[in-house]
Amino acid sequence: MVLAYTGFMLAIGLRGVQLTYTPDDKVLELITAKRWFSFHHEGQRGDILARDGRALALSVKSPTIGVDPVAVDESRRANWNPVDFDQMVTDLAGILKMDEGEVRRLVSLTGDGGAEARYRKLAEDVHPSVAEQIRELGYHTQGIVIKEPYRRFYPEGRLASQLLGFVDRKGTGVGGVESAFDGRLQAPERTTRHRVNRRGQVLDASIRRESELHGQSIRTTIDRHLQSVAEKALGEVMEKHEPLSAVAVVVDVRTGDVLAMANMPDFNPNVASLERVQNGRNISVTDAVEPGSVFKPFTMAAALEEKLVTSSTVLDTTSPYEVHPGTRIRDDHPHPSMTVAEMVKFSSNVGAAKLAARLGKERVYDYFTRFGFGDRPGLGLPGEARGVLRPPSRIGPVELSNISFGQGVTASALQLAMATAALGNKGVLMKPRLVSAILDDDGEVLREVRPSIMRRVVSPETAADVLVAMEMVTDDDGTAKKARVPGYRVGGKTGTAQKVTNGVYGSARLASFIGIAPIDDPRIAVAVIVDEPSVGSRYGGIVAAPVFQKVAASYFTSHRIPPSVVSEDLEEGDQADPEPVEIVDLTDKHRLVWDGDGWVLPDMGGMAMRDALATLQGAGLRLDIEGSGHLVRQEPLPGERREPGQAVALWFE
Amino acid sequence: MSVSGLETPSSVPGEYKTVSRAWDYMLLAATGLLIAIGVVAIYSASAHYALKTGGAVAHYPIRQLIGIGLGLVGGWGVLQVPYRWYRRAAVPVFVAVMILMVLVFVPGIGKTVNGASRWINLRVMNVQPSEYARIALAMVMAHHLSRNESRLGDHVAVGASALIMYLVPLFVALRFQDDLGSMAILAGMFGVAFFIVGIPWSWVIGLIALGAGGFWYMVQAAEYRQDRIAAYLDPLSHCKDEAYQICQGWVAMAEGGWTGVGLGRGVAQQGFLPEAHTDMILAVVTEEMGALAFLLVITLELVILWRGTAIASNARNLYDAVLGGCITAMFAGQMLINAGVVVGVLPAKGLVMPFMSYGATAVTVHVIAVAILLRINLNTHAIRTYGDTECSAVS
Repeated sequence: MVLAYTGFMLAIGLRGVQLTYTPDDKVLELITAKRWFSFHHEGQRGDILARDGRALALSVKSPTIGVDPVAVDESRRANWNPVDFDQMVTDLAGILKMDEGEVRRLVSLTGDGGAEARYRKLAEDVHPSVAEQIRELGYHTQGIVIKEPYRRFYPEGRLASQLLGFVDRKGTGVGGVESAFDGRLQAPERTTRHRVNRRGQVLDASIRRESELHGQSIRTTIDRHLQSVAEKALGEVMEKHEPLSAVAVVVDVRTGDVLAMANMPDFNPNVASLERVQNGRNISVTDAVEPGSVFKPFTMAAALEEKLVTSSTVLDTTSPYEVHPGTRIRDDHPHPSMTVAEMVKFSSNVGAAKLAARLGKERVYDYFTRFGFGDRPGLGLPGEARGVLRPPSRIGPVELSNISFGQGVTASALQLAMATAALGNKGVLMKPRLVSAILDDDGEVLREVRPSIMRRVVSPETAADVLVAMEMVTDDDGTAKKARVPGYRVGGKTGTAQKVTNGVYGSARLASFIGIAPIDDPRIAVAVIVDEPSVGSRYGGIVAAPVFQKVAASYFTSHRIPPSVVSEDLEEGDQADPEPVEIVDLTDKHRLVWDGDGWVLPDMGGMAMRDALATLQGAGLRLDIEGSGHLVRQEPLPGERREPGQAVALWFE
Repeated sequence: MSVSGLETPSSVPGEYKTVSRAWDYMLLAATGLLIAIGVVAIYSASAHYALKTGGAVAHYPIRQLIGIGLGLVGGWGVLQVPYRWYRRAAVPVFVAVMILMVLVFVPGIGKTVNGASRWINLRVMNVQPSEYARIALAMVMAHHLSRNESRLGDHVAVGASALIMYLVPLFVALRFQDDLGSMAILAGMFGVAFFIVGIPWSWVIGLIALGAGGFWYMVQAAEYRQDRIAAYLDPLSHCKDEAYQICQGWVAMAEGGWTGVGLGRGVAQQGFLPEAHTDMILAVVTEEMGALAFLLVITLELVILWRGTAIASNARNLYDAVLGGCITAMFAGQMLINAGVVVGVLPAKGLVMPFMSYGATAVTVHVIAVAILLRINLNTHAIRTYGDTECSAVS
């Protein structure tokens, strides 16, 4: 009997071991569902930096304070260390600067929402020190809920909004760099499991935040100043001519760096709005349009490179040119015979068509392909357009002549800018570069992206000849007088394309301009496209060229390019003023605000050094920093005003 | 150490006296270790519940220690009283316990918990007479059988009289206390008593049938017991209702693994596992200290069983044999049912694990029971001495 009993007890023992060692699936399910809480550690998304290393997009901690009234009630009635409810209400009202009655109502079990509410929001997007104060008082263990998500912040506001994109509520990049480099920008995922009691409260002392979770930062080639100038110039176009859209792309001819990529209308990436969706597309790369006459320099380059003509070869442009029975090409402003260079200067369709006819469709296709048309530029941004360039088999005589002056072929502003840059870069097409480096969270370079050559398109001599023709465009009798920058030699080409409306060329126009500055020592190439200007002029030379003019002038100033024309008198005010730094339209006493006279200094008390520096970033203030850690003292005091260049002293401990 | 006074003590030097040094150290060690593990486990298992119900954090371990203290006092008494009192006390003890068993129903004296009237309210603590009934039954059975040693062949007379005089009155009281667990234990003890004196197999089968009948009656009498049976057959499908406790116990055990999550880090007792510090203490022990601790506890309990069996089989007379056997049967029954329920081989029944589960009355009774086993062993190995000279074994 004792043996039988011992055997039975041993069976119980074995069963016990079995239960612990190989539990049933249902038991495991219960464990996962009820006894563990998975905490997703939100890391800090990497920054997007401008060329100068300043942040265009960064992530800052943005605490939200809420309350679980049920938990507060339980803490109140707890046998052990119950919370003093009135004291809690007073403390919270003080810390959050809220009305005490309001706090009492929200924290109380029976508020407006009934007894069951498990979460009510008290304050959103508060200063990190507020969360810290609540933690110090221990209320975070007594029903006050502190959430500290990172918030994406664009210190330059609307600047380069489509190029940067934004981050949705789930933390995924949408559009632009945010989307293209989402994988690198996102902090690595980490989830930790914590044991919970039956009420779901985490039993470990606390969930330790994984502070080392950072995404990688992207340093772009964007020149904040130039970008802002381009946007302002486009803004003026928008106001003056009320087009559907206006874009400008500025590239460095020697490196292929995208210095500015501006799209109008734009949006404020700091605010979730309809605007962000409607204007979110980075038209400069996503939309390929029939650009019109800005293609003529490329036609000319092809003909010169094939040695069919020289710049001074005379073309008969006196009469309309019948490319095909029934189809005649004519010029709006008929000229007598002109040279190949003058074809560009006066923008003769007849001249261009005749060059194309001599080149033949294979060679036209070949050269345009070599200039990068009909192929993705390879910037890595979402939705990069290829553009349409018909293969030779689908090019007839009519199409051939159209292509020569930029109709029946489409290109994006970026493609135009890059092809133009190739002319300025002695005939060598560069690969466009938007990202110059990928950095870790300490700013150490993980990977550097160097400029790279795509291919030689034409010889340096050909390129030089085309530049001469493009400079002529800005002559007094050229089509782009308005592109001229006093004191400098620039070149370009205007375009005014007919737009296809409902399948036929209608009255709508697309104004375009490509330009190179300075033409005698090319530094930048610019492409401007204004879609359907509806008020005033619709010509590229009037509508689009001024954008180039402003960008070039600003570039010369900021890069201290010496004037190349000494004979011409410089008038006061001819040079565009450097643009003021874009103002962030967020009003918050913890953020830096421009009130017109200067920067109103924010209250940065308790901020981590990184956050404080991020707050003051981009303001041009001189920072004197003492110590490290959290800010304990600032001079001048919050609310005082300082102008760019003036000093602000910060003490950290 | 020696205990004198097994026979009439004599203070005159140079006279005969009877002493014994036959302490069962195995039994003592196993009991001590279990008590130590038990108090720690109770503390961990009950702290959350105690705070939640408005008590001090150490409410339950302190009560348990008081129970152990009372048990030690009782056990000391058991070891000190003259041996002849054992037989003489049997019937008075039984009568006293019977009175207490009835007093639980008297308003103002009895105390009702969860609808069951099983306790006598002593203000400072509650006493559960049914626990003492186990010892009382062991004593009266020993007394009854040894008194009728000469006519044990007359099974009907001896058996039926014991049944009617002792077991039936207890069962009637327990029926109204709704205490099936105690009835099962007492029935087991009753059976073991007859097993020791030797009864025909037909009787064994009859007694088992009787037990099964009684069990069936109790199951029929209470609907919650029927649900418990259904949940017992497939606990994991009843995790939300009847088998909630078992499922949570298994969850706790699965969390524990071999070595456990660490003492005091168990989660089961934090609202998941009902009766964590009483019926389900093994699950808490397993979560916190792992399957190895579970096996250790089972082993230590088996040590108590083995020692009890050895002591009962070596007993010098029938009274000691039946007393020791019944007490061992009590331990065996408690352990079997408690551990069996935790691992799901037996249907849910609220019985405590000796020395492990919280239960102040239970632990007092269990300590006293061990003392009785020790006393029986001492008696078995007693020797006569004259002065410092050992003479002979007591025959």
